[in-house]
Amino acid sequence: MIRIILWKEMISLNKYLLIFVLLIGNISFAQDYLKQQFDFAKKLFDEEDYYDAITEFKRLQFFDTSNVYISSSDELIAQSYKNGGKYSDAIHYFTLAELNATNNDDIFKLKIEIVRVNILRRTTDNALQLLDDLEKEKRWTDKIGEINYWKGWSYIFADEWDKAAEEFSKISPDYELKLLCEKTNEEKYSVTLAKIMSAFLPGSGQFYTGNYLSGFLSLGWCALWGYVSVNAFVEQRVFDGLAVANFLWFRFYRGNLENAEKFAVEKNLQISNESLKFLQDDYKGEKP
Amino acid sequence: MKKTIFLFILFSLTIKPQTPNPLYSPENVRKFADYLFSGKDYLRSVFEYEKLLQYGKNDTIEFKIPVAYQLMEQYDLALQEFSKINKESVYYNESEREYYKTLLLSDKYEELQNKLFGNEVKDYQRLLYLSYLFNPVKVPDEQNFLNIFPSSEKRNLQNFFDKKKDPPYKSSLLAGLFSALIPGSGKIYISEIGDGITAFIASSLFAFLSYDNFRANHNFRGWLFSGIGFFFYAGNIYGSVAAAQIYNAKVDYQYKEKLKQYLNDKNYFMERNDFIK
Repeated sequence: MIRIILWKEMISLNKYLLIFVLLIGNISFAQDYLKQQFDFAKKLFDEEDYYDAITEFKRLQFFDTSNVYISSSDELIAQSYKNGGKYSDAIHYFTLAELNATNNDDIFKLKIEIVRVNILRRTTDNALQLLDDLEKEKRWTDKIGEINYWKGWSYIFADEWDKAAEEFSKISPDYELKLLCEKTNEEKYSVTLAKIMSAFLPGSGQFYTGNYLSGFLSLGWCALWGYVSVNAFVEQRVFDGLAVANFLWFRFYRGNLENAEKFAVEKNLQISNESLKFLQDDYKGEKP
Repeated sequence: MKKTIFLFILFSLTIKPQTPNPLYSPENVRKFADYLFSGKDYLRSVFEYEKLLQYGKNDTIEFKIPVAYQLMEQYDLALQEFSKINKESVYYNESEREYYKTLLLSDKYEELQNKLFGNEVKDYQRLLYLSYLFNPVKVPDEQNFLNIFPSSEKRNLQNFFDKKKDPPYKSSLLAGLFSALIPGSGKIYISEIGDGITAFIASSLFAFLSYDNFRANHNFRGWLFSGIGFFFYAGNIYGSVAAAQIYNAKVDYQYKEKLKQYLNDKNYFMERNDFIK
């Protein structure tokens, strides 16, 4: 009797064992295919075939019902979109990856990725807002250097080199990027000064920015119409004088001010672009 | 012996065969393609559907490919693919309808009118009449036009029809003439009141300055202001003609955009396919 019971127990135990082995076998079988798919998509990503990489990561996500690869594939989809210049899609997938991230380091890394994409697509206000939020959170106090670093980059892309230098100086007083930002800021022309100079002596703002021909023309036009207008007043043709002064003299005077501002802005853009080109081609550190 | 057989079976079950990745089985490719299509990732869905066609003919897939192209606004490709669908397909009627709709979407009005003229099918007659609303020349008979559409939509369509028949254009000839007679009045005629008043003041002022300088025997300045005044005067006439043309182009553009938006909302008065809803 006891033997029979034991035999039945054995059969029952074997049945469960069989089911268990089959189940484990099937799960690992599926996992293997998902792993294969992940590796294949990652290979496409590494080969910079971003379009196909996105397709294959999406395929992986569609069949990965247990969400094993969800965070890593979201991140790589986001990177693919970023590298393909699809910044809004990149932010969407980085946000999804952040939602599925399991540890603080990953969350911080993904938040910084979102900041970097915002810098690249020139939504620097968003980038700065996100960095301010990170700075306020206590759990990121040990990451303050990185936060300042990306704040500096945000200001570079916002063309505020003085503020960028300030942020980089928080990392180190002789930080390479701080020196570059200071140099760029010093090289830039003061738009206000150019306008003030031209307000006192027409054309002088243009001389300040090195546009001599335009400066001489502005000076000449203003002198001519100023003379004609004053002459009319002297001869007591008041309406004549007012009309010439308003429609010609002031028109050229205002044009002279606008020109001075335009040239200063253009020169500053040129200087900024030279620094950005240096950062793009020669700077070895992390870039957005 | 029993134990050995049992263990052998158990062991053999754990051996994984060298089979292709099931994620790429036709069934799974189909599921993934449908997922992409419903997620509006049409281009990727087309690539997946095309893979499936290697395994054999499928009417639904053959129809969904051009629909995806149509939704991506790749109208030439959509037309090409719709025209490949033959009469044996269960989607033949739908594809024919979508083909004509694509012709309308791609602004090929004359081709559509040539193909549908005299067709008695109601859907096609609607498309034909709708194409007249876009066509720069032809205007259909009002009653024939309105009778083909549901009565609930007649008011909206009447509105579009009236605008097509009698667009609120401004005459560029009149604008030029007005500005030649009274500087700036051409601009006021086309509702650019600020520009009109400025042009009137500037032209009058230079005319006065010219007169005043000739009167004071400053002949050089008199001629100078005459020249500038004439430049303003001629520029104003030219500007009024150009502004009228721009105004008319704006009227056309706004009409077309509103009509397209309206028809899009109504799906061009055609039945929607289940998988596109």
